Amino acid sequence: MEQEQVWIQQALRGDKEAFTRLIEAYQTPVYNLAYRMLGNAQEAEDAAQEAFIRAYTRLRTYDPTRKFASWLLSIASHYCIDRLRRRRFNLISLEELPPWQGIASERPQPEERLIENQKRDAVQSLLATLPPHYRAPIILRYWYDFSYREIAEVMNLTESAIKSRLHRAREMLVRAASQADEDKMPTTIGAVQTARGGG
Amino acid sequence: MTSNVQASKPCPQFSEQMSLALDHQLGAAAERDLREHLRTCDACQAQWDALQRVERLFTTAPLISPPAGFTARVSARLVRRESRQHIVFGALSLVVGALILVPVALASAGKIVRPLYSLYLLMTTPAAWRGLFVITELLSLVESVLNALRLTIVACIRSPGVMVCLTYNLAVLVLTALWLRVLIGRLLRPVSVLRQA
Repeated sequence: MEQEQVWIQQALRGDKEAFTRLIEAYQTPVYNLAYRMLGNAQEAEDAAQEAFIRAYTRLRTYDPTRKFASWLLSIASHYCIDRLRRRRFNLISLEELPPWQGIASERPQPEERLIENQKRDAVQSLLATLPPHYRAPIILRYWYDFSYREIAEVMNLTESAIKSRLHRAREMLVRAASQADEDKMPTTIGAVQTARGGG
Repeated sequence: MTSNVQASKPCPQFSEQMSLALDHQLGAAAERDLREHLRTCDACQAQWDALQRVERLFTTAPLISPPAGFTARVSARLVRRESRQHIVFGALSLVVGALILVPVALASAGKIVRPLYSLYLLMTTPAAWRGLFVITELLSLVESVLNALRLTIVACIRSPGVMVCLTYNLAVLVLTALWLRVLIGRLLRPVSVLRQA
């Protein structure tokens, strides 16, 4: 944490190398957030890059008493929400979701990979059913293990609003999962559990 | 189980409590009440099971990393963005500066052209006459500037917005001085180069 503050101070003085260290440290959390929010690799890459550039240009507004990760993810999530709002008129169906490309991860065995891919598709298909302002709290809750207070800080909302959004988002996810099961879509929770050999 | 969720809705008073329970935000007593309720309510039990399935799916989903070279790509984009901003800012400054200087230059042209021309002549005449030229032309320049200042101050004091007028004229004066400095510097440069040769 202290090293992080040193990098921030150096970056504030115009040291780009120090900011590069911050990018290296936070590239996965920021990219993952963008990916989960936007649903495809190309847009996620662009949004994650933009989030870091905005962070660099607004670094003077960062309050050192806050967690840098929260501040950075706040920039990224707001940018992704704006981006989703801009494209809301170009709605796509779940089947038309872009393929999963350019994901840097360990390559497991083929069967495990199949399960992983199905699981990833199921997660992303479910997330895609949520409106942007419900999607962000769910992502922050599950992938970053943020508390209600931290999510509220990132989203500029109250804790009770976050509780309510998480509750409603979970209800929407359950409905979407049930609907997917009924439509017998390949990318559902049931399919994943079948591939795992039971539920 | 799925059909149960759709067939009958879970009880509203326990619906939000399920979400809180998943986040371990429910008190011990409330959680006990929820567990007891789930044993007796099929709709809520079905909802709870469905929520837990989603929970398991999401909690085991990994963080996704960007493709290799992400840091370099961000750094390159940052450099491009900054250079573009510098170009835009520089061009904007030049345009604004030029727009400000044009009226200043036009306003002061009548007073300045003659002394400047004299200055040019001074540099090109024989050395014996230079002393006389320096004194007369400098006096003429100072007289012109002081006269212009006097007229400006009088006009300002008589106008309703004295402070605005004075501030504006001070800014114009500073800009004119800077402009003159640049102009004189350019006029003198060829002479000094010739002297060195």
